Amino acid sequence: MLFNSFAFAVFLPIVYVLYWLVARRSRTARNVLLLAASYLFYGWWDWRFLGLIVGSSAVDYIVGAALGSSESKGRRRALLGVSIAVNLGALGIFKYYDFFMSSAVDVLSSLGFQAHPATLQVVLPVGISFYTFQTLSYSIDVYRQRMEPSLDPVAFFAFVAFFPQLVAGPIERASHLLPQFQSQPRWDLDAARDGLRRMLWGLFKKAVIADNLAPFVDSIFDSPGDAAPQAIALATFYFAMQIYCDFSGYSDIAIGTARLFGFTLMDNFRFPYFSRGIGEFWRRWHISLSTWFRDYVYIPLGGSRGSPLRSFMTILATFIISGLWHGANWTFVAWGAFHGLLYVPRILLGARGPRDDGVIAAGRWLPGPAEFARASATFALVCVGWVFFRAASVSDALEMLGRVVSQPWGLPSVGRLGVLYCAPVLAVEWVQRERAHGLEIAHLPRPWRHAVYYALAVAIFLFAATGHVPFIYFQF
Amino acid sequence: MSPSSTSNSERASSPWRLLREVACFAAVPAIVVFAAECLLWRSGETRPLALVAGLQESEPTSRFQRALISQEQARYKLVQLRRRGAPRLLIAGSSRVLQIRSDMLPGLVGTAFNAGGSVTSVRAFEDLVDELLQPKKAMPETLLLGIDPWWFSRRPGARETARDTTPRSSPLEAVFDFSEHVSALRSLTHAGTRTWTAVLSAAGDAGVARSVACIGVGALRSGAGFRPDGSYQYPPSLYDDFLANPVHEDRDTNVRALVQRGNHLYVRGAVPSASAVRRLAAAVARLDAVGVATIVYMPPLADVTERVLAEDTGYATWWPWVRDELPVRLTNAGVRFVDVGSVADLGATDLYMIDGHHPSEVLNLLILARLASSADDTALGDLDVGLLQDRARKCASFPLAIDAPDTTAPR
Repeated sequence: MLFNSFAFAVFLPIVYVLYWLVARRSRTARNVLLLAASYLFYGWWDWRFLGLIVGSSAVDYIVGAALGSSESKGRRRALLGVSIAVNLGALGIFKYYDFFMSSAVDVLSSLGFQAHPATLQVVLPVGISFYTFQTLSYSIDVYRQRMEPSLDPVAFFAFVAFFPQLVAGPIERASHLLPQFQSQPRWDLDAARDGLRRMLWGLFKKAVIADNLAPFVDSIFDSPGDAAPQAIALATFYFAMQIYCDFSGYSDIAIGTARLFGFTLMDNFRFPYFSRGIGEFWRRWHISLSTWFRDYVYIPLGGSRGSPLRSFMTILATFIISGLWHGANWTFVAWGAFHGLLYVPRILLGARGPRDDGVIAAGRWLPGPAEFARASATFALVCVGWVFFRAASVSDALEMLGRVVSQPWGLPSVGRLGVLYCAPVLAVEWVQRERAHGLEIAHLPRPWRHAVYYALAVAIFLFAATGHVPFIYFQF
Repeated sequence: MSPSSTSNSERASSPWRLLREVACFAAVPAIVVFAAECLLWRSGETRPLALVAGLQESEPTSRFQRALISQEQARYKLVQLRRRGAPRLLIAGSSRVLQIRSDMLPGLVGTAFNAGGSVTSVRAFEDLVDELLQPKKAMPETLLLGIDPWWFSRRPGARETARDTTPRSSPLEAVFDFSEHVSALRSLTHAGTRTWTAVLSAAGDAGVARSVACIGVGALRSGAGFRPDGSYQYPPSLYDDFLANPVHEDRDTNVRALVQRGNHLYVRGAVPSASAVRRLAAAVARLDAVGVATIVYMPPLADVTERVLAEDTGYATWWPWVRDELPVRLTNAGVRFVDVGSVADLGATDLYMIDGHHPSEVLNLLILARLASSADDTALGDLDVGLLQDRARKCASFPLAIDAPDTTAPR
């Protein structure tokens, strides 16, 4: 089920009413209801893949319980190995098997050997990368004794399958979300109102901005052969906006929806395009994933300890794995490696580099020239990365970037209308950058607030792209 | 704190309060949407096809055309066909056969149904055959299939395929599709005066019935639409235009521009598609096997269109093949193909064409006369050839329609 579908518009109020009818009476009944609703939400897309979620949840629940009752180091390590093998195994089969097989065949062919790949050609189950990482973090945290294992199977299964964040995150930590399933729900009217505002803003970003930019972006990136340099640059800028509005829009709807049920999910985006450096960008972009990689890959690999070279290699490895997490394609590997490279100046400067704490131009309307220059440069570099991310192949990406720097630019003849979509989002988010999200306007007088809500609702009605456009991150 | 005050404050901030707030907020837009939906329902625009077919059965002069929701021609024709039961003569093809009306078929009046508009490719014909061959479906005695030249073309370099993999239409009827309603309401927000007049005129009517029952905003707006027999009534304004300026013009579609520019019908540099011939013959054979006589013909293009095609080098391979070789290929493949010839061969001129593609009702009288004399062992044999030709002769002063323009229909 998509957040931007009629089915969800019917589903959500029904679940909301049923939930609050039972929530305060029985914790178990509440969790059963959430679990059933979450499985229905997921099964709406393809019920056959429900088995994967159930299987992954069952394995991690059992592993967690066994870890809780085991003191033996070897046994604990073996149990963790089971969880990692099952979760990454499922991910490997569904997401990476075909990629590695065909890559191996390419390598063999280049060496002169004939090989025929036995690919599976299976459909990638929606959300598999998200929920496997979520359950994996539970097993690792229990293994590291940073949290107690869950002894409530219904709460645990509901935590894994919680529908607002099931298919595209935020990737929650068990230590943050699971306790919320194990306690009485917390109703907070103001938080729920803010959740609705956040949903509205998320839907606007997704349906009006991202979906309307998509056709132009697709037209350039899917057949870059004849594209002029200015068209490539414009398409890259639009893709930067598209992926941000699509994914942060999804996260806003997810966080807002969870609020309606008394749950608090972690923030996933904090106005990343206003970052003044690549480090700040990664503290603001897909926060739940970048912190996941920081805690479970980067730090275990050594983190910032050791020589600058060692530190760089750790960062590079983490970003390459993060790139591969996004998809089984060399373009994502290149994107990850590119972001790893962007950390070189930061590593070399060490403590002498700017810290970039807080928000750009805090307490002011506009940034200073230095801040502006650094934010612009960061955005431009992030856009270069997006070319690798979106292009069909690494050679396409290099060809497009080469054309942008080597050929003379003119004025774009097509796609200029997209600027009208991007400008309001950038303006609103700039004004709101010190707040939690673009539509945090509880402080405004009621008539103003309602005017904004109606304006957004009308904009969605009038300008939302027709047909259901899936969220970009569903494919990851 | 007393229990009652606790309960009051809890109630004041309960989940139900949020629900009430959302309901109040949504009430105004909901009322607007509901009113618009009521208008669309009254206009017939959002009536399910089964209801439309029912309305048309009780209103022989009715016509149906949507403007804001997808027309779904193929589905509409199948729904009608199912309700009517097996016709003796089923006419199938693209919009180019839509000017054949049941009441211009002496000997077959009331027993013919025009499924034109629903078969726009070989693939669509295969789908129709699948549908007809389903148990308990309306099986005609004779199927008259009008084919189009572009069914037999493919892009240069494109591979011949044994199966067309174009997705079939959605299983959900358009009026049950949420996004269709959003799109219809959105169209209303920037619709012109004519559309709004049409929509509002339905609000004051008792149902959708009027002197000429118009079902759907398209019909209300222009008087055009599908008749209960499946044929198509062009907007009366088109006939007015002809009366004011009786020359051949592309009144419906600018065909010459299509040919010269190239589009999905006319692919410049196109090559003949032999697989389309094979697939058509296979589908016809399946009907033959269950006793349905299938007569295939190609409704003529306007002479001017044929000339443009013959002179344009972009069609140098494909067009001569269609004109000269396709009939032979079809016949050799076991298809009963009747060559009705060109407009001039039929003794008419381009004045008998609505545009470069669509033969008028009067020209169809002449085409039917030729078909009847070549296939007299089928239901077409019941047609009185002399009567058809005589009627065509009488319409020579207004060669677009067998009736004078309908002055009761909206313009």
